[in-house]
Amino acid sequence: MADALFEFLHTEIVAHVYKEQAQRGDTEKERSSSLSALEGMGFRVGQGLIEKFTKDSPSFKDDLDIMKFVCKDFWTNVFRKQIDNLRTNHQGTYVLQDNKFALLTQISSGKQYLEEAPKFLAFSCGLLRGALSNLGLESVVTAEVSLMPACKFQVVIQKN
Amino acid sequence: MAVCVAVIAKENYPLYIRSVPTQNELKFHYTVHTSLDVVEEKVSAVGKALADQRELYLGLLYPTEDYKVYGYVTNSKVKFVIVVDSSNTSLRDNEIRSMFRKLHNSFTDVMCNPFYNPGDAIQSRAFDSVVSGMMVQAC
Amino acid sequence: MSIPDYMQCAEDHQSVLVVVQPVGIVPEDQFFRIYKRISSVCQQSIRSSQRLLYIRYRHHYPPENNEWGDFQTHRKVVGLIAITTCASAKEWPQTSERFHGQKEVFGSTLYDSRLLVFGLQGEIAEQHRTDVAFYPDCDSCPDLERRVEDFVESIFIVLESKRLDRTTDKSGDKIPLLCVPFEKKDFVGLDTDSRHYKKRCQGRMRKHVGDLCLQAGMLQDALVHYHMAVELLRSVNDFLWLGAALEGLCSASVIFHYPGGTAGKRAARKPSISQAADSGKRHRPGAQELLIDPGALTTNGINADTSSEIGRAKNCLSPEDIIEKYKEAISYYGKYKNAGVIELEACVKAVRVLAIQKRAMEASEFLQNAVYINLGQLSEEEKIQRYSVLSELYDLIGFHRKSAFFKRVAAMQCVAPTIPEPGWRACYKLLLETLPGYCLSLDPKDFSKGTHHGWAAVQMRLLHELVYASRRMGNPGLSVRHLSFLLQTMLDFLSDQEKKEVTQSLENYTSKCPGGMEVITLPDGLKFPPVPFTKLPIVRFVKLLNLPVSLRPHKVKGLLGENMSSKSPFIYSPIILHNRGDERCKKIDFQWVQGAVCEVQLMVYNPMPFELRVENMGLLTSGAEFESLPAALALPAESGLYPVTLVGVPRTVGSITVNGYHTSVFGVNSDCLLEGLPGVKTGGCMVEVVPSLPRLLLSTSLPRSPHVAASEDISSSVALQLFNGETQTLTVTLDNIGTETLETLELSSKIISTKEKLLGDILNWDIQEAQSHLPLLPGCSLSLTVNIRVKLDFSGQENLLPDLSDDGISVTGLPISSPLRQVLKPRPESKALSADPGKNEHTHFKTLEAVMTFKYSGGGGHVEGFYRELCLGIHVDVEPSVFFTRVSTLPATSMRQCHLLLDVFNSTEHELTINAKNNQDLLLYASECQRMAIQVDKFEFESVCVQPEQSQQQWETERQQAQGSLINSTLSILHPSLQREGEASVEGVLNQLVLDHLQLAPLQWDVLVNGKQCDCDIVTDCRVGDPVSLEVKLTNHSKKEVGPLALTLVAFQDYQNGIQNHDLQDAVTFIGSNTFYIDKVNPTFSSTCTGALLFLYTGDFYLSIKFQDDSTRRDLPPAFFGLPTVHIRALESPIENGA
Repeated sequence: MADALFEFLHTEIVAHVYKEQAQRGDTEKERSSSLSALEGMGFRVGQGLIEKFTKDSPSFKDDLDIMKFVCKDFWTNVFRKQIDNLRTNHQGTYVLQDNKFALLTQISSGKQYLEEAPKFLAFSCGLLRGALSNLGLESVVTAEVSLMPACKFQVVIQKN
Repeated sequence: MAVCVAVIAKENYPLYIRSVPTQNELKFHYTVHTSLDVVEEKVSAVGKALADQRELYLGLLYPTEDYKVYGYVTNSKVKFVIVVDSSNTSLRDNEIRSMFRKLHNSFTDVMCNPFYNPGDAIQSRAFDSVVSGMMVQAC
Repeated sequence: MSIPDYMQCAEDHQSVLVVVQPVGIVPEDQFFRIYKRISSVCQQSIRSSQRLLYIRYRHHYPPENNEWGDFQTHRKVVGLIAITTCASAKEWPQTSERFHGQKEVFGSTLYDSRLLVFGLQGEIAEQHRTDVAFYPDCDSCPDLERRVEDFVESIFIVLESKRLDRTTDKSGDKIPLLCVPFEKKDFVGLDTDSRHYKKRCQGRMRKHVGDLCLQAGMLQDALVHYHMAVELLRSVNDFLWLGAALEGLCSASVIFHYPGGTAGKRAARKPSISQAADSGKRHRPGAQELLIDPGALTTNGINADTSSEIGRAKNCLSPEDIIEKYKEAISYYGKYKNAGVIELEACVKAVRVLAIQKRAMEASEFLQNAVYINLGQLSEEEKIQRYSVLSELYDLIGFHRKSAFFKRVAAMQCVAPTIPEPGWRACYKLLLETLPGYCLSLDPKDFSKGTHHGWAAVQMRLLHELVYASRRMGNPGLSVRHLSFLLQTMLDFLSDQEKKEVTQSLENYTSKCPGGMEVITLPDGLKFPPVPFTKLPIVRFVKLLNLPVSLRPHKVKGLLGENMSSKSPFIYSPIILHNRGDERCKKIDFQWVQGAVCEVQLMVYNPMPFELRVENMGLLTSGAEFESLPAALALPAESGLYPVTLVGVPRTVGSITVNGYHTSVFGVNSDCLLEGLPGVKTGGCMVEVVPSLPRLLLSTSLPRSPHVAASEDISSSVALQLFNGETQTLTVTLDNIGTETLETLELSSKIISTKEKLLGDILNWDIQEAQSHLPLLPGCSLSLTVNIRVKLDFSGQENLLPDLSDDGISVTGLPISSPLRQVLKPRPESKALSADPGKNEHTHFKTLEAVMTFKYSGGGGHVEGFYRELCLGIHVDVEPSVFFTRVSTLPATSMRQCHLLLDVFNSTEHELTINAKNNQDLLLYASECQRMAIQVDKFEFESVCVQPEQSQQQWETERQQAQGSLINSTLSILHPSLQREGEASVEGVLNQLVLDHLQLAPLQWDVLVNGKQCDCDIVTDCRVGDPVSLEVKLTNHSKKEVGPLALTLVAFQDYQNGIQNHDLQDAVTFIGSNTFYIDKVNPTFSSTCTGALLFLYTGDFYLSIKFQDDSTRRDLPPAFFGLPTVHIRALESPIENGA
């Protein structure tokens, strides 16, 4: 029971943000601002969560170590399962693949509603970005879905 | 019992610094500020050092005539610094570690508070009381 | 030895020390020139061998340091070069003596010495001595370096001999004990024969030999000797010397591992071209590395020849070992409090090595230790130097914060209270150097965005210290600059109390030296950028205001194409290029006028907890010339948004951009640019200035109106109170108060829409007369007369007003043309007044508002097609003067004329006279109602032109207007008491019945008696007995044909008492028939019937012409058949003579 709580809440958050945007007027600019709002929410939550989850773990060796932690412990704590596949090009780009992403399972399991998926992934992208940011890695996170409920998160670490 | 507790953000500016009021506070500012050098050195050394040296607790940073300065860094590169009186020899390493643990827990709570923006000064009263609990009580 | 040499590093151990000193008085610059040249010989390869000798030069060396020469040989002075000037041969002996004296100072350790004499010529100068060199002056000594090289050679010879001496010393037991100065007393009375003692002596000597080898350039030997010495001394626990031996070992290893030198920031020592180690290899390509076990060496020493065969790598310490050994050595030194300086120097050397090895943590530990080495009583100078060096060393290892900390301590030391002459300049300089360590830059731009970087409390302290130091230094400008920097960047971190203190001290400083916006440059090139106060006050909004309405320029339409769009390319472009969303580039849609006072409004906010006085606040503009008039204001403490208006006058035409503003706060002038202030919102900063236009001031003959104008456009307004129908003249005077000539003037008016029905034009003027004064020069004026006439329709009120119908006097049947005077009976209360009780029951003001607009232009603005407008509002309160409460007509007695009965009610409080054109005056008292009758010509409606497009209603209105104006022309009102007169209008009062009566019947009946027209009041005379011809003519003005009709004439007499006598057969006879028949009369045709009468008696006779009842009459209204009454007076015919 407790598992579904966050999923319900998340669905409602997405609906609420889009309803607000519709009330203000529907233009292209407004649509993207809802996504930014959701991503921003996720960012802040990610920062707080990662602080909590890394409280007791030792410090990380390098970027790969951090990504592994995110794939295993962090993802498990939030979505109750691990990332199924992590790929990297060792140059700062990582692709996290989740074959049964918790927030998408209840929407469809095929191609239906594919165009609605981005709305429901914005928050999670922010979550990832916030977690990484607090660990010292500035990144750009994007998500893509080709077949629900599997999705891929692509993380590009910004080095400056 | 600490005489000064400081929390420093990962950009190396203070989020929170509190010291025993009877002393010249600026002196503690200086002490903590200069200890950052040592902290940074240690943190960068961790990457090069062996894999088992991965604790969050940094240990004694450097001793001065009157004080001993201890450091701790979280995974989010937030640093905690505790300054204790040198004369207080009864304090053991374990106690210092536990003080840091308490600080870390309290800081995590602050971080999860939605009204707190990361990067702002810490104004949480709960955090304050945790810190008061581990500072030397002014008579 | 009390003064540590902080600049020493490990490789100095291999150098020999030469002191260069002046003898007597030598000018400083000369001395140092020579010194520099001598110092250039710091590295020399010895001719006879491949070794390299290093020389260290000092121009000042305390003799007591020399006593430690046995301990570490690089500390003793082995060469002395004295420089002196000697002008004449007489002084020579004295000079020579002095030289010898100086030699004595270092005598115990000196290997060789030289004297350089400048300025002496002559015989003595010709002497050729090895130890003295004569030069005519300091500029002509080309062989100086060579001499120095020779000198160095000679030193080397002595050194080499000493080394060999010691090395191969086979004196066996009698090795003297080398001591350090403070040890001497410890060894008095010791048993010199014990093994312990012997070993000690040997160990110390071994170490000494190692030193000599190192100095002589024999690294390998030195290493071996040091190793041996370490073994020996360790076994006897001779800690001090053990430490020295270890240190020597470290030095040698350092020299090997780091050929570039460990001096850090100092110019790195040039790596030697060929090291002793390499040279051995080069010359023995096949030599194997041999390991010589130090333990295998006997006390007899190593054969000098085998020195080149000694392998190198294993004897040398590894880099980690170097540090270990240093630690060990220092710990041994630490046991001896008198060896503080040695210890300190060793620490410093170790730190330098660690810095190169990039082991900052350990370096910091060493330094930490170094801080606490007690060197006894240090002078202030020494303390300063110590801290500075510590700071530099920390910098070297990358601990910038600690470095800054110590630098600050050094700065504070410069001005410690115990120093008699505090070095504030030095202190200031040092403080400036600490700034980067605290992430403090003195450029306020770095602080404008983002969060604060750095530690606020610490930074504030530092800034305060900078301020204090610069003040004590005597540079108040710098103090002002720093203090303003503090205030600007740390404003958020200062407490209220601190804010007050800082501002007070700032004011103190600026009273001596005002702050400005220039870049302050220090003599050494450091630049301090200006600090504008952008937060005092904080500007939130900048808005350019439009000119007041009367001064705004308007564009004449139709000149669009000729617009000076060259100045403002954005005006008419439909494409918005480069819309970066920057509202500052937005162009404002109003314009300013050259020469007019223009305003810019700023919303500012005072963040300080006390009142802020801003002086000299003005605008910074670019583009056309704008003369900004400065303002001074005092903002209350922590005010909310406070509007401030800055004014200025554009002096040239063009485009003005407001870039920012300048203020003077607390004595500091700041120029704040808007682009540097991200928080400022502005609705556009670029405004166009049009050429100047003339400026007129409007004044009127009537008093100003207290009414608020209906719209803000009206610059002034007048108010009048008029009675309905009254005319008032208004003289408008326009003064040209500008600087331009007035060239054009136009006037138009507009009635503000009102529900009132207006009758006629209100405003009337003659513009030609005014325009004859143009062009009007500045300072002149012209006047214009405007007639204001109000005629409002007060109809609809009549039912509220009393009329005379209640009197019971019927309208009809009144005697004609006798104005009746009726006293008003009190009105019954049954008719309630619908108006509110507060109002005057009978009078009801109507207000009328009109606006007169003066359009004028001149000067440059006129050329460009601009004009200005002045609006005059006219507010008229109209009082009803007279009311025609009832209009009725007397029954039509005449065909052409009609009597209108008007019940006139005087609603004013004054008496008035109504005067109809026929000279009938009717005097009415206040609130009196009277009836008056006027005679009006009937007129045809058809004569009123009818336009086919008009609607029925419009036609009716026009008809009424036409009638009314006809009638009105006969009426005028006079108020004798008030000297006012006007016109009364019956427009709107006429009702249909009246109109019908007024209508000239389309069937025009004319009756002519004896050729004379008959009408109501015309009495026709005729003679008795004479036939009277009678004609009745019908002109058909209607559209239909009329007829046939039959008329009957009947004569009667009226006794004027209501009785008429129709029985007149005897008196009147008709000649012919008394009945006329009229056939059909077509429209516009007429028909005439003739007849005749004969009167037989004299008297007044009336003829009435009646219609016989005819069917045709029923189609037409009876009014068409009104015939005039004929009144004939028959007169006695004069008796004719002879009849």
